[in-house]
Amino acid sequence: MLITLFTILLLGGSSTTGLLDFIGDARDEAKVVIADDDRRAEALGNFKTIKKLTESRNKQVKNSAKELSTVLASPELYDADIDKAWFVYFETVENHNAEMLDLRYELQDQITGEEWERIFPAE
Amino acid sequence: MTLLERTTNRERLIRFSSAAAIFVALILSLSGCANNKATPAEIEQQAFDDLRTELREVIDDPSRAAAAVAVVDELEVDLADLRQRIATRKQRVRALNADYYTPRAEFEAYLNQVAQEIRQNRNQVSDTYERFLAAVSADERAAIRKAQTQAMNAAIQSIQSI
Repeated sequence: MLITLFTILLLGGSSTTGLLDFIGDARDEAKVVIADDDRRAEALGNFKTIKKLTESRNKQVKNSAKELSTVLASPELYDADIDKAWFVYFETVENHNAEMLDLRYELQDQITGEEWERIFPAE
Repeated sequence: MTLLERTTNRERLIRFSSAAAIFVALILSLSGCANNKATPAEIEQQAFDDLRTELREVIDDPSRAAAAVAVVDELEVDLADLRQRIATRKQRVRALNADYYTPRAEFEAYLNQVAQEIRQNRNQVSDTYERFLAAVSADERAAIRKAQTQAMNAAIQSIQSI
C-alpha cells in the first residue's frame, strides 16, 4: 500500500483518468442535441477520437505508474530512476492535454453555442 | 391423519416457512446494512490503522517504528489534501469547458498551473519517501508489502480511482 500511496502522490493523483477525459463522455448527449446531420457526423467522429485517445493515454499512464512503483520498490533506489519514470509520465500527460485541447476546440467549431450548453451544462 | 390435522400441519409449515424467510431476510438486510456502513473514508482510515499496526509489529526498534508511523501519518494528511485538490481541479476544468467561449490560453494556463503544483509536490513526496527508507529496512519493507489486509486492498482501489 505504501508504494501505491507514494506513486499516487508523486504522480499528483489518478493514474487512470485525465482532467479533460470527461469531454468524451458527452457523446450520447451530442447525438441527441445536434440536429444537423453533417455537423453531427463530424462531431461524433471527434468524440470517438477523444475516447480512443483517452484509452491509449490510460495505457501509457498505467505503464508509467507501474514503472514508478517498481523503481520505488527496488532495494537499490536511485533518484535518477525516479526522475526518469516521473518525467516520462509528465511528458505523456502534457502531450495528452495538448491533443485533448485540439479536439475540444475542433468540437467547438462543429457545435453551436446553444448546443454546447446542452451537451456540457454548467454545474 | 384426518383432513383437519393435515390442514393444521400445512398451516403450521407455511407459518414456520414465512417466519424463517423473514428471519433470513432480516439477517441479510442487517448484514447488507453493516457492509454499506463502511464509507471509502472509513475503509481508508482502517487501512492506515492496519498499516501503523503492521509497522509497529515488523520494526523492532521503537524509535525507527515511531519515525515510520510518523511518515504514515503525514501520508494520510497528504492524501486527504490531494483528494480535495483533485476535486477542485476537476470542478474548475468542467467550468472552463462549460463556457463555450473560454479562450484556449485560459485552459492552457490552468493546466500549466496544475502541472506546476504537481512538480512542486514531487520534491516534498520524494523527501518523505527518503525518510521512510531511512526508518525501514529492505527486509521490513518486504514484510509490510506481504501484509495486505482487506481494508488496505479496498483503500488501494479507492485511492487509484481518485
